[in-house]
Amino acid sequence: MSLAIKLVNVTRSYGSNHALRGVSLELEAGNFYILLGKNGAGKSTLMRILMRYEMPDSGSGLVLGEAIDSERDGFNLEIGYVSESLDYQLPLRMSQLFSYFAEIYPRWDQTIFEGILRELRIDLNKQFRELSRGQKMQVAFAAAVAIRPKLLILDEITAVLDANARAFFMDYLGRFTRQGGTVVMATNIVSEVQNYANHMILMHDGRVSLDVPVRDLSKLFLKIRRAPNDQHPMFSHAECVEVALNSDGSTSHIVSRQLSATFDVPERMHDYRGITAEEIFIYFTRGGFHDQHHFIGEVDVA
Amino acid sequence: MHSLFRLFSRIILKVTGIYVVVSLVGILALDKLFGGYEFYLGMLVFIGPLLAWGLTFMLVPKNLDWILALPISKRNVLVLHYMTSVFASVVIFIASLFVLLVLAAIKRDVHMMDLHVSHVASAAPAQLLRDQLEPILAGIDIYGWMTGLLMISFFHALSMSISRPATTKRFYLNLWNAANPVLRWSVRTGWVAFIALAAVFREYFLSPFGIFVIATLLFLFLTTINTSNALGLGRRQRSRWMAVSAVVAAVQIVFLFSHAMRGVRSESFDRRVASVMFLGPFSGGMAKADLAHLLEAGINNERVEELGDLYRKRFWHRQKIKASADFDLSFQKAILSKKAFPDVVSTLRLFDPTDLKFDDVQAVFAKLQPLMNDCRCDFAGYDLLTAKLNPADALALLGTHQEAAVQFVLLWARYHATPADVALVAGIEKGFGTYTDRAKLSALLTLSVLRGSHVTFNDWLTGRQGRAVSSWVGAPAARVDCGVWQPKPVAELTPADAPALNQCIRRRAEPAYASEIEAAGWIEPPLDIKTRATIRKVFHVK
Repeated sequence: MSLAIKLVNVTRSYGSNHALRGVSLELEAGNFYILLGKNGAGKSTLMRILMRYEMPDSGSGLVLGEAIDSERDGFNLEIGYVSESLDYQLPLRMSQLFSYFAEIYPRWDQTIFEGILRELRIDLNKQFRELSRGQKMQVAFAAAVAIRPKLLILDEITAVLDANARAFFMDYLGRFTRQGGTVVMATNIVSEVQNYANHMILMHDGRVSLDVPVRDLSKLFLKIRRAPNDQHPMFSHAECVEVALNSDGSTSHIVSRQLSATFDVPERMHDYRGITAEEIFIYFTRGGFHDQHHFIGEVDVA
Repeated sequence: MHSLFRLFSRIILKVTGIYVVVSLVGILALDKLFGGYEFYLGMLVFIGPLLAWGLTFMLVPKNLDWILALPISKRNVLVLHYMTSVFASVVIFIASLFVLLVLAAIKRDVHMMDLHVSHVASAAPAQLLRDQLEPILAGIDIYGWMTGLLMISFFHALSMSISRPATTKRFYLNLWNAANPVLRWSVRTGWVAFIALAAVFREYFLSPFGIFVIATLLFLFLTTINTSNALGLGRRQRSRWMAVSAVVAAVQIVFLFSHAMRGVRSESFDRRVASVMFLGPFSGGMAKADLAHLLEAGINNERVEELGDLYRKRFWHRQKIKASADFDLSFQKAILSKKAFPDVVSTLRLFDPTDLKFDDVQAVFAKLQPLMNDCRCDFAGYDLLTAKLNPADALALLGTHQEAAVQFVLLWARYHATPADVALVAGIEKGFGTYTDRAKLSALLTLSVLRGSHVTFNDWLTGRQGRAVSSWVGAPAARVDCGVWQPKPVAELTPADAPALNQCIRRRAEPAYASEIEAAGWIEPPLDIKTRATIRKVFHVK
């Protein structure tokens, strides 16, 4: 498969704050990537660099074959970008405003744009500023997909959407990737996305800590269940992190396969329910993992 | 970019249309209700540019997030912003003119379109007009360039300025906390160093050229930093933009400096003056003799003050000029060349009065008298009170019968003459009948001080009928040794203290208090609050 995005040792600092500390990534076309990480982990900076909003201090990269420091006009022609910061602050009706997009983007599809807005019951004769936050996001999303992009970059869009719109978008994005499109979505609400995403990138402190297909999570991590009075020494280890409270009073924990091998973990402790992306996110955010480059490249993605 | 420009121009035209309608209706309505239509019309001068800039900043900067996501390079985003800014300014300027013309037509205000210049030009002889215009044009020559270039830089900076407050704030915070210790400490101490430099070399920083340099650099560099930051430029691109800005700023600065330096060496006197004033201490190449020559010419009071300040800063350590010690600048030439009363007074104030001799003082009054007649101005003479004069000089000045000189001598005598100066007192008495009413009152006060008792007009008339007032001179009441006389606290002063008080307060007062003392006139208890305060200041008593 061809690469949609390739970054090599990209760094970006804001004064003494190192937002990105040598990020290297290879994202293949046709996949749905979710980008996870705590606030300040560097997700938005990475997104902004991918969209050329900012330039890296060092390192290089290609997005759809175009260098990320390119000064060419057509760089974003096939990239759809949606972010909460997008705000069309013009005193025009949306039908007037977006009619200009058809001139800007040669692949603009008015049918897709109007179809999505009709589906979501948004009146094109309104001005953008008259819409609610969620509706603004929906319009921005419709505009991003109407350009018929090859790559969609979505920065924290799910938080303001209602359940219906979220389901609609996820469904749309699923179809988009099946048709060969690539999605990179930064989010903190993992539960909604995990069923659609097939690859997970986890950032921590400006670095990529985890870069694996979702289906390979169980090859790297073990999910174990702790009964209320279980005193197994594994549970007192710092890297054995509680991720869920079960209905029977037991708790679910995630531990790396590597660590579990050093303990004698009896079969009865195994939790055979699949490991979710959300649980891995919790595992990382609760500090269960310290060696930041440990998992990258260990799994045979192919 | 073209599509976006069309989109933005559509909005600009729409807003301009609203502006035209609202202006026309609003001005006519306000005029109908409250009158003063020319005032409302004048407001367009402010409202127009404000609207243009408001519109400009409402378009690209406010919509930057989604514009940057479009397939448009950052350079073209800037070009788009620039074009939008120029378009908005031009359209609103034309719209304002349109409003002006429509309102002029509606109000039948022919005056507004009347060009008075043509009338003036036809009425005045060409030579006179040239003489009037030449100094103005010379001034405009250099200051006009400065203003023009600054306006261009300002407009350019505004048109280039794309700012996102959060990004800008983050940028400066990052700079303040830069990881590189050299950069961090440069930023943290740089502003202190700048202020210190500005304080030490303030004459450079505060000269018009210095201000021009700073303003140009600020306009161009701050805007470039701000915009390149808002657009998220890479280091390479940012450096390139900074280099372009530096070149643009350097071209302007070098052009204006070389133009002004050509002016300093120009044949035209007015151009030389304007250039020296513009460059200030940067005109270091100008010789003292040249500057002195300029001061000796018929320049107006504002230029005298500016040029005089420069001369004093460079050659007299900011002190007043001692006429006898400056061999390049002739006091009398400087005074006699001036064409108006305030020009003479300003010139006089450049010099140290304690160093002026009788000839100098005489020259001042010879020049001042006709100018005072022209402008009906008043010269109190305080500036010359400490000149090197003796009673014989004062008597000679009195003999000129020039009103200004007479008034000055009457004042001077109250401060420097003694009751023993019989000739002077007699001279004052002798001329009394020829004095103006103001001079007569002043003479009575002088005689009162010298005599040691208040001489009123009636006293004078009585004296004329009987003994001359000069015969009172030397009477016991007039004999006071101000060197040893010690005043009582103000509350304890009695009328008996008046003779000594009136003589000694003038002998011992700093020249700066002279106007206060003279406002009090003959001082005799009971005293008003102002006079008490003056006595306390002069004698340092309770």
